[in-house]
Amino acid sequence: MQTQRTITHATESSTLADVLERILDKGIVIAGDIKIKLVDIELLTIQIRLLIASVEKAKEMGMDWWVTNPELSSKKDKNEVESLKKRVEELEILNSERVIKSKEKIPLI
Amino acid sequence: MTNVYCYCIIENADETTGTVGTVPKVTGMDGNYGLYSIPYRNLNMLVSRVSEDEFSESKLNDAIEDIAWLGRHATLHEKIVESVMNVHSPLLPMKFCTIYSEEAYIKKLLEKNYSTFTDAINYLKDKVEYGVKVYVECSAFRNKMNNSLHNQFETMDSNDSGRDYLLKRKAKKLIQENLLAEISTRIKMIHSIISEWSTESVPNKMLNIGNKTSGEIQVQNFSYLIENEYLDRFLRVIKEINNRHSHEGLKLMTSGPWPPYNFSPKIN
Repeated sequence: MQTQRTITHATESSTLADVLERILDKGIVIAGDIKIKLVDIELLTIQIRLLIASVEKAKEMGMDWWVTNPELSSKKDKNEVESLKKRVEELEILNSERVIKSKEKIPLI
Repeated sequence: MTNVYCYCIIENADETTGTVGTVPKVTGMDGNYGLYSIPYRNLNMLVSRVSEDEFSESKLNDAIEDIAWLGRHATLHEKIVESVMNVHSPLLPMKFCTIYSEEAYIKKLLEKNYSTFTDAINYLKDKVEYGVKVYVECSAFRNKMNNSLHNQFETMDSNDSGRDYLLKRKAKKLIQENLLAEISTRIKMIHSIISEWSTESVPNKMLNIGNKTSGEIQVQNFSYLIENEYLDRFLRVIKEINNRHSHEGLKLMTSGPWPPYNFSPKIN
């Protein structure tokens, strides 16, 4: 016999984002020609993010969560940090050379 | 004309008659049709009819780009699966909008993957899926970590010499990196502590990056599969972690129980 349990529904403790990241991406996925084909979900999430930027209504629904993609933004940050690091080093070398030069000049003045 | 929308796979619950048992009396995605079962041996696909006017390939691919439609139907799909979960556990949830034109295809699907589905159902017995997200409130965390160190370099101003500016900038960057490393250590530790009470875990995409209360960012998102008997401890450990780390701006949020979306088998 199946024991009947009182289950507090996941939807009560979650957001639409929790639901979407599961039902669009997980669960049993059937590939094949017979079933109705849905557009690629990865593509979809990107489209949603673009849409969201201009759809105020979505915000009213509490759907304002894809503002940043952590994967994309962290990569971008890393590149930014790298290039900044390089630039800082370049500037530092330049600066220290300048300091040395100016120190050399001091006795002359 | 109608198509067949698939929600989830369950085993027969009524062993004496060898039938599915209770099917919740709810309407499906199309409000005009109720749930019923398509059986194959002791497995059942729970489905409902859906009108081709809304659930055909071309209609659907337009519809899911409409954010309001997607939000409404995603919630509906989840609620239907949860209503089944109330009376049948475990179940294998299907991906959103798994739709066939004919019932015969669904029987074939169950036949072809029979052992995969029954193995998965056996594995998932007496287990539940929970989601745990970790958020960090950046300024609280920074204050806790190295307030004095950080303040020393807060005084950066445009009158600084180039060298001072660069040094301060460098120091700030080091502090930033140090903070990120600290956060990373914390979330690894949190994950390893709560994993102790779960059978399996799967990282999820961090879609919900910006929390509603500003200044919080999501730094981790995992789904855990937990045996029923460990669930209380699992949730208690999370509560303890929250108590211990809330002063430094770390917060764990749980959701569930979910249908086991993250622990359903992959099939070809």
